[in-house]
Amino acid sequence: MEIKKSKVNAGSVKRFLLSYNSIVIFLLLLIFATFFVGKFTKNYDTIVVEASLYGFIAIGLALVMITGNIDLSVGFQLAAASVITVVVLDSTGSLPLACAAAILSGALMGAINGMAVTKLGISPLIATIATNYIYKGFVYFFTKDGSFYPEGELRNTLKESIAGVEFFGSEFLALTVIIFIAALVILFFVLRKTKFGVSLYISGDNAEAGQLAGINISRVQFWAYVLCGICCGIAGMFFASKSGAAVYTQGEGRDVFAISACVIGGIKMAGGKGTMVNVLLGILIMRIISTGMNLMLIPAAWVDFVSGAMLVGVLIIDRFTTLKKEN
Amino acid sequence: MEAKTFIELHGITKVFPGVIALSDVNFDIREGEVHALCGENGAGKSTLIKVMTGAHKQDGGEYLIDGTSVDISSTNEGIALGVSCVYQELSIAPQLDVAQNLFIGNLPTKGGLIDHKTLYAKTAEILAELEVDSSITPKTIAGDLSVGQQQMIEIGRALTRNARCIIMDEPTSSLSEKETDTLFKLIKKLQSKNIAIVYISHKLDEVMYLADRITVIRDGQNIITMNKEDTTQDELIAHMIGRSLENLYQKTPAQQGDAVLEVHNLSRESVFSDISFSVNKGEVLGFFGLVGAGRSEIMRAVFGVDKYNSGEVILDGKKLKSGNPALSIDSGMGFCTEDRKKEGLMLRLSILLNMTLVKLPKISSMGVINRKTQASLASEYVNTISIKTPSVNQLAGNLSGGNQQKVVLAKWLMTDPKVLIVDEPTRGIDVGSKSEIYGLISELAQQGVAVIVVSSEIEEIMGICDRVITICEGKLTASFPTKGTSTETILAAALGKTVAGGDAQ
Repeated sequence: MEIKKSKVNAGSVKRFLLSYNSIVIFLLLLIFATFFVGKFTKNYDTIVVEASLYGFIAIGLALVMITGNIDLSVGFQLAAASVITVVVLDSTGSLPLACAAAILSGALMGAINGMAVTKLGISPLIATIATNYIYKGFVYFFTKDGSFYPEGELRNTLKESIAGVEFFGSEFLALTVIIFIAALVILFFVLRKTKFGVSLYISGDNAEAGQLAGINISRVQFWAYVLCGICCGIAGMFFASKSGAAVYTQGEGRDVFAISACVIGGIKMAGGKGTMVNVLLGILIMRIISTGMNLMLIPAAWVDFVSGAMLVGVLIIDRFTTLKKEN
Repeated sequence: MEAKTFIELHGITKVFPGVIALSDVNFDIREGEVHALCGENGAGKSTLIKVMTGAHKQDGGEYLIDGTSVDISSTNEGIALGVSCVYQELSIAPQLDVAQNLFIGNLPTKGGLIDHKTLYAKTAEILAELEVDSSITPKTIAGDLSVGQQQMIEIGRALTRNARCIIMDEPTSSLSEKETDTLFKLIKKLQSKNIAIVYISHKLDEVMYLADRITVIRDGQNIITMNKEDTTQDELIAHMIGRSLENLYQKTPAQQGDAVLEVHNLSRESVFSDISFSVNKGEVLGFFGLVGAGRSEIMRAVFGVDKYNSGEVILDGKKLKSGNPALSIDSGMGFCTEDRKKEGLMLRLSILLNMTLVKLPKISSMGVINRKTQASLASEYVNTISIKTPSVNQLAGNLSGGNQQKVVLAKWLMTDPKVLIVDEPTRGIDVGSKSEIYGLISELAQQGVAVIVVSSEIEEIMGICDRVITICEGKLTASFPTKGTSTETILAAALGKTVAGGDAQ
């Protein structure tokens, strides 16, 4: 009896490691940075907080990637939602209204992406590159190449709310971290326990099969984009609060971060595979790398270079493991 | 007493822009019967299935279930009324587990959430009912299953929906013989539970074995519905093609010359070993073995696409190189692969380009293609091997299976090969085209080409080959002249049994 039990455990450990092999990269990086990067241990809280700020766009992208699509406009959906937060706060003076508007604007941008892909049938890659430019233009209109912030006291209100709130004086318990973890948990269960969640996987794995089984695949993909937009809206709201302003550069380079986090974490480019645990691991790995490199005083250009190179590396691994499966 | 009628289709008509796909078709299905639906490609079988499942709405006619007229406009509604379909292209989600595949689109829920406990329990029940291999559990990932097992899952899927009628579209096209047997047993079992089966297959011996009744359609019209006992395979073929087919296997004996291709002790680690054979000018040599015996792998190595560890391939006295198909082509070898859609054709490009692909270097000067020569070459072949297409600019994907196969053949014929390997040349194509392809192979042999036919259909091998080599588990087991050898002897050799009279090489 005992032997049997340990067998089951060995099997599930193996399955866990197969699905979440990025945990090895995560632990190696964490150990390396802890021992070899000066002051890294004093920055655990920064990593967690920044993971919660940046993380939402990776979560959103992961949902879209699971359906087998891609969204390259997450960066400027974030920045545009950030602009909306500031605009609404500035004109109404109401913070809740500003937050609601940010999330709604995200949903709207997601819906536009979803329509372009599922209704108009444009390739997801091209469609979202195009919409990214639209959102980018919108952001530029308000920020020019600098930033755009609410007048007077409102700016402080913005800074002190959302991203400025922490419980028990601990950064680990910042409001953004709590919201981030809540979102991860909820989506983890949505993916596992709801028909919609399973439909996302079916869409990415074999859309045709889903269609024949009576699942409306276009609708599923559309809602994945909307959810992705909502996630970007939340991230935009976080960033607006963090800097007390909408900043043009908030949108730059986020797409590469999000794709890298998803793929390194173990979300398949081809779709149909991955959970929120994969996304979380990917986000943490990316944050450790960039924080670590900052602490080592490596110039930003090199951080970009390394991010790009890593993405290529990870895509090669993704391709390699996909091919192996097929054989 | 006659069984109760479940589905009745009266005067079904379906029109697509420019084509009448079905015209006044009648079809009925009784509970617990196997009703075979036969017809050549393009006869309207697929359209008829789609009307039954609800994927298409008929333009005219009446659809009755249990004697009541129904109006089905989606596959969901069809499924709800008990009509399920196992499609030819399996619709399995390969990264999901067996349970989720069985209940795809139909997951059991409790309070809005998926009820995993019920899901896995019900799945275990269905797996037991299907009598699948005990290594398959509800949590097995579907992509790890064999094609046959995946098909069982599809049938199981129909059971989860309480199907009263299961439509099977070419279910055995990619099954091994053993898997086919398992499928047949399951069909009988389903029948005993009063589930009706609509069975669509090009393999007429299967139809004759399984069916209670057979309906033939041709050009979108009913030709006949008959009891199996009242007909023969030949009569069936005659109904399908609209004329009697004197001899399906057209074969005129050709003058054989010297050996043109010699293969010596070819081995590839853990795939095949010590394969030696030769083919003569004008000979049609069959390669027979079960699915997975390694026939295609051997041919890929002979052609040079796959590398081999040891041994040599000599074409017309010249040694070919492992992993260099370009050299093989230049030396006069052609290879029509098994899967024409994946390996043989570019479906979204014109047949003009598809046909002249290998020939391109010869009809170009300094890298620029001579369009005129290309077009006239293509038209010439379209005429000589009668490919049915409105023009050479038609996309390959728009042709029927038989015509697609002819395009692949034309591609190699243009290179004037000395040796032509054809792997499963007639898989999934209709009887009429089959006969034409056999004729073409025979003609090639008469022109002195050595043809190697790889096939898992023994009748095909017996009908068109001069000699047959049997392969079992990567090893060459025997070689026989087809004349004077019984089918049983060849089958036994392919199963690896020692047979008297076969000269193992």
